[in-house]
Amino acid sequence: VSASGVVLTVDGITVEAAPGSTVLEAARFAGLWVPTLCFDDRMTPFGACRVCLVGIEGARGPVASCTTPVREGMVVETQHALSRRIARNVVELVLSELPVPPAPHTELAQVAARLGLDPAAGPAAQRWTGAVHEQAYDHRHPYLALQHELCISCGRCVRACDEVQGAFALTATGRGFHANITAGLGGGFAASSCVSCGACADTCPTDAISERFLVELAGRDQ
Amino acid sequence: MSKNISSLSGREGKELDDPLWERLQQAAARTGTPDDEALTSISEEYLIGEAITYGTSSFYDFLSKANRGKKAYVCNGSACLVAGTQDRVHHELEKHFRPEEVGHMCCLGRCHENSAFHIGGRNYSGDAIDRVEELMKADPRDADVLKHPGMDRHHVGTSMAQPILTAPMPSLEEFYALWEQVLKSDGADVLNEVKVATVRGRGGAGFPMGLKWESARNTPGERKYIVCNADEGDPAAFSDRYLLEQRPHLVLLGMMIGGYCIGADSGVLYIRAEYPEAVEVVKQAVADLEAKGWLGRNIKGSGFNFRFKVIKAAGAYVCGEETALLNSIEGKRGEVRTRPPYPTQQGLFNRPTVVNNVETLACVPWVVKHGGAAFAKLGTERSNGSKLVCLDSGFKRPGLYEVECGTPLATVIDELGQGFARPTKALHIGGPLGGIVPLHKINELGIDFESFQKAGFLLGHASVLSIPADFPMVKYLEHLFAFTAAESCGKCFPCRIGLTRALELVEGTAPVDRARLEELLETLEVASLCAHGGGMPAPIRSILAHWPAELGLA
Repeated sequence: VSASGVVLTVDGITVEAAPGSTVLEAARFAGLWVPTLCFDDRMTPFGACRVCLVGIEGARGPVASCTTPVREGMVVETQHALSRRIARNVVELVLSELPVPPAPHTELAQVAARLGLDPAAGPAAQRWTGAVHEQAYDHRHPYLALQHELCISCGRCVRACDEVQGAFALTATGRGFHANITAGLGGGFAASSCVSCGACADTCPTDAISERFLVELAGRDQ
Repeated sequence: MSKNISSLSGREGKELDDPLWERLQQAAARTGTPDDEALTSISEEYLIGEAITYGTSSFYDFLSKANRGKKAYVCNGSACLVAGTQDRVHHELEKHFRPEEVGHMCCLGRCHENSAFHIGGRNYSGDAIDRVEELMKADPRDADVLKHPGMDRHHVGTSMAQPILTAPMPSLEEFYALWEQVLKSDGADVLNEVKVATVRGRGGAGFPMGLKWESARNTPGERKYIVCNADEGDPAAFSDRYLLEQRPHLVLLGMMIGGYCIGADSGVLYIRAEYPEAVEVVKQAVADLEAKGWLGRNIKGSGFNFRFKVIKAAGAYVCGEETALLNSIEGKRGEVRTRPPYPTQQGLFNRPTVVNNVETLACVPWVVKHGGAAFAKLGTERSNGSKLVCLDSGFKRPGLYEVECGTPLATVIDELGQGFARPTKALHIGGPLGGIVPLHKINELGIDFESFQKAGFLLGHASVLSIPADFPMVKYLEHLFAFTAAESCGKCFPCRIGLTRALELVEGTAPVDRARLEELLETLEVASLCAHGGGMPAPIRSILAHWPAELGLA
């Protein structure tokens, strides 16, 4: 333990973390799993999905580990019962907004399964029935496909385009439940400042944006 | 939030001198929404990509494509809803406008007389709806906006011998003598008075203003900002509107003193689009100050520079949340930022920024003139000074009242408001996130943070909306969820999805499923990023606790 690090414990494991780093980073450094949907370590933490909740001794309630800086002597519990229950509730709500189940290989499906939900169940089997996103498949670009109905507004593609690529080709649109993403002025990737780098497809946790080659292999572009 | 866009929008020459935000608004002026050509050319000039200008405009009611061609707006705030006046307003407006030309605004702050609507850039209420033909011919550009036929009158009263915010205004020379005195003082001493006074934020959170100022003062930065949050559009609250229209100099001098204390050379007022008159009054007040030499560079030889920028919002309730507000000034989507960093460390255009509410800032001149101790002497142990209270049309004497903190709610209702004008079953106090107070709880409450907190309610803006005895609670519940779901910024998942699911649970005629509603409330409360989702459970729980039969709950 050096003088410069911040020492904390996560699930009983002592971790020395860099000052200014986050609880999520410390937990992952300790080899622990914390569910996340909007997090990608290539980009600035966003704090949107609220699935990375953990318990911290002395805190008033669960905190989002991706945006909480480490503090000396902090005692973190990743399996904190309330945090996990609420995280599960949030992911259940996310599944309920999709008109079709997420593909099994997606990050959303895997996080959902690990939290004890059935990602393949589909909208009819959800406890939360109600509005779902409208199906809109945009395949005007030769390489990138955009399925608006699978967007969960995690902002990863928008941040990748901004922070990793600097292309500013993507944006969130609308507000509330109707928030979604679009390229350019809504005319698709081809008509935007997109440079076809694929960073958005790479980070997308639901395949709302995917590389067309892969989509076609899967036989979805009929 | 994108720091890149903040930096690009905050570049020298753009920033507050030629804000991206205003360019989008100008582009929307003709049809109600910017066209694609404008979005593209603006994005090229600001080096940000057309997706960004499009994304921003899609966020705001009065910039989005849905606003195209709108010419008249009906207030759909809570007070006008329970007063039952708006169906007629809508009907009358449709005699003069095509249905697609009529939109909504929430709320115009005419809660004391209702029937509120907006045409030709002006607000109207009361019996104005009977004169639409005539009003459509009125020139909205009158020299003196306060004499415009649309301006309302309501009672302004106080139970204080020496009110702080509603006292008559002296001449500008007399009033700004304090400014010249401050300019000769040490900012640290002035800040100390504000700390001693313990002015707690009047916007809802109650955070001590002096601590914010101190944090920004201690953060190094070549340029800092002080921002007035004049976008707290809590339905039934019109106290900020009163201050902006009738006492703008209290707010402006409060900001100037704040700027001096923290070393900010720029003050930004972000004022709700639903208060067009307030925007104009404040702009004129700033022009008056410039003419007198109380603003600008090296003010009165002090070496201190200060300028104002008045920004008009564009219809997004969530921009009353301070970080969403900062994003909006930068020309971005009004999404809530995560903390840390706090605005005092990294706020507007990534620079140290203090954000204070209108009423909080308006207290500052009095505090500095009379001393922090005099302010602290007023009120209760943890709520100092006075508070403005708004009473809606359900009272015999609706209007705006200034009371010393700690004044019993019963006194406000019975003596100042002279009691209820109609059979009433509940009070909704402190905006949409405030508690729904059953009448038997009135005696537990005073106009202070402590008693409200103890009873599980929220003082907020201290707006008091009276829910009539015959207004179905399930309809009010539906209204609250419809409002908050529509106004969710859409960033954090619990609020974005949860409020819509909650609305779906209470809509229609089937009994409300209590267990599932409470599960949603817990998720919203524990996991939401800001108070928009996180504070929503409080009023809903009041309704569940006190009116279960009205919801069809067993």
